[in-house]
Amino acid sequence: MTQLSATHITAGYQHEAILRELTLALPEGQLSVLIGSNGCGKSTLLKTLARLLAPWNGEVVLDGADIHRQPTQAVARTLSLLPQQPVAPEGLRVRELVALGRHPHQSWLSQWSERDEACVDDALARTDLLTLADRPVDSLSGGQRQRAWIAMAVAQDTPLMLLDEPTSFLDLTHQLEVLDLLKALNRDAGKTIVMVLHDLNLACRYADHMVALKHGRIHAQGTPDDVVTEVNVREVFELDCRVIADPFFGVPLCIPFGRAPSS
Amino acid sequence: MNTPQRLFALVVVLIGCAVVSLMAGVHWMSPADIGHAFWMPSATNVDDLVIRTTRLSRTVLAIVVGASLAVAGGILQTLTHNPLASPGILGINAGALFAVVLIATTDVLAAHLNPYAGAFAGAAIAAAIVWWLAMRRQTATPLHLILAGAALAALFGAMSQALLVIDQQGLDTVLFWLAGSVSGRSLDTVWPLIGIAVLGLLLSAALLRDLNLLAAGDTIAAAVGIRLPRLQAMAIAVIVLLAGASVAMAGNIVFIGLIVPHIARRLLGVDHRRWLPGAAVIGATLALIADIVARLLIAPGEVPIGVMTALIGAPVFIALIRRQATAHA
Repeated sequence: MTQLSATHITAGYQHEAILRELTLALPEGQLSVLIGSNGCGKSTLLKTLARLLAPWNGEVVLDGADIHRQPTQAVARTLSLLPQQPVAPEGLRVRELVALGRHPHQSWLSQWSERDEACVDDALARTDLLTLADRPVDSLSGGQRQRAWIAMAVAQDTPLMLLDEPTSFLDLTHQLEVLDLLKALNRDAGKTIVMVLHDLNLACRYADHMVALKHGRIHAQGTPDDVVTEVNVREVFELDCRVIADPFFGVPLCIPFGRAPSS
Repeated sequence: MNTPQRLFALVVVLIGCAVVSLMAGVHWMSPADIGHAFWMPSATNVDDLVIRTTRLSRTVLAIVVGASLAVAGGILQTLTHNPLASPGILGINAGALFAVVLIATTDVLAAHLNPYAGAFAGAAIAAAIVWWLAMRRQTATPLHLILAGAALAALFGAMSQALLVIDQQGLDTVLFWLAGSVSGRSLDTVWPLIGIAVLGLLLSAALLRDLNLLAAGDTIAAAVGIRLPRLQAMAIAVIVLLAGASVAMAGNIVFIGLIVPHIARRLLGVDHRRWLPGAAVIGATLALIADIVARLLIAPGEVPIGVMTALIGAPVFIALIRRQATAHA
C-alpha cells in the first residue's frame, strides 16, 4: 500500500537537474529513511514529494491524484514537512509555535476550535513539552527546540510526516530522543514517516524501509539488510567499510574505514 | 498589564495626542475651543476655522501616515525576514522622489499632472519593478527583494540628481519633500491618498494570520498550505498602498516604518494579530508627537516632521540595537 509516490520525476533548480527520472513508492505506515552523500538530491526529493518544488517532468501522486492538482491546504491536511534547521521568530512561545500547525484545519469561518486546542495539547503531550509550553522557543536547548518543531508537525495531524535531517546538530542522546519520538509516532499513532538521515547506523536501527540515492537516482531500496551492504556503501558514499551485524539490534552495522579510491 | 490592556492604553494615548495636536501651535487652543469648533462651528470665528482646516488636516494626516508607515514596515520586516527592512528598500521612496522631481522639472508634466498622484504612481512603479526583478523564480527570496530594491533605489536616486543638476527649478519642491511634512496639505486635495492608505490598513487585516506563519519561515508556511507567491504579492500590494500613499502625501518620513514594528513587538508579543494593529496605533502616536514638537520647537517657524522622526527615532533605534546586542551576548 502506498499513499505517496513519485513516477519518473525530474526536478531541480534553475537549469540544473538534481533528480533524474526518479520513481519511488513509499510504504504506508512505515518509517522510511532516505540516505545518500551530500548533494545527491535527498532534500530535493523530500521537497518535491512535499509539493514545495514542482517537478519538470513526471508527477508526485498523493492519494491517487497529482499532488500539484490538489489544493495546497488540502495537501497540508494529509502531509506535513519539517525542513532543515527551521528558525522560530524571536520570543514565540512553544504553544504558539505548535498552534501554527493547525493552520490547514482552519478557515475564515472557523478560526480556532476546541479540536484545534485538543490537537495542540495532544502534540505537546506526545513530545513531552507540556511543562515547557509557555517558554519562548529560542530559550530552549537544541533537542527541546527540535521536539517543539516536531510537535508543530504533529499538531498538523497528518497521516504522513516528512522530515529533513531532524537530528542534525544534536548530540547523540538527543538524536536518539528525537528518533525514539518519531518511532513512537509511527508505531502508536500509525503515521507514515519519511526522513533524511546522515547517520547510517542510526538509520539502520530505526528504518523499516531505506532508500539510497546517488546522483539523483535511486541506487538501492528495501530493508536495511538489503540496502546497507559493503558494495552499496562503497558505491553510494564512496566509502570503504566493513558491514557486520549489530550485536544488540541485529541490524547492519557499518564500520567506516575511509574514502574509497575513486573507480 | 496584559496585551489587550496595553493595546487599550496605547489607543488612549493616541486619542490624547490627537487632542493635543488640535490644541498645539503658535496660538494655543483650549479643549473648549475644540469642542466649539466641532459641535457648533461659526463661519466667522477664526479659531474654529484654524482648528477645522489646518489643525485637523495635519492631525488626520499624521495619524494616517504614521499608522500606514508603521504597518507597511512591519509587514515588510516579516515578509523579508529582515528586522532592518523599511518600505524604502522596495524603492518606494526613491520612486516617489523621482516622480516629484520629474514633474517639477518638466513643464508639460507639471501642467497636467497632480504631483501627489505622480508621487504615488512613482512609488508604485518602483515597487512593481523591484517585485518583477525579484520574482524570477516563482517566489521572491527576501535577499533578491532587498538587492533589487537597493539597486533600483540607487538608479532612481541618480536620475533624480541628474534632473536636478540640469534644471534646479524643482529644488524647492524636492527639499520640502525630502524633509517630509504633514502641514500645508488640505484634506480636500489629499483625500484620495488618505482613502488609499485606509484601504491598505483594512486589507492588511486579512493578512495577519498568514503573516504569523510566514514569520516561522517560507518553507514552513508553504508546508502548512500557504500559497506563498500569492501571499507575497498581496503583502507587497498592501505595502505599496500604505507606504506609497504616505510618501506621496507627506514625503520622506523616516524611521517610523523601521522602529515602530520593533516597539510594537516588544510591547505586544509576536502574534501579528496583536502587534500589527498595535504598530498602527504607535506609529500614529509617534507621528503626532513628532509633528507637535516640530511646530513648537522653533515657533513660529517649523522643523520638518521628517527631521523630528529621525531625531526621536535614531536614539530609540540605537538603544534597541544595544539592548538586542546584550540579549544575544
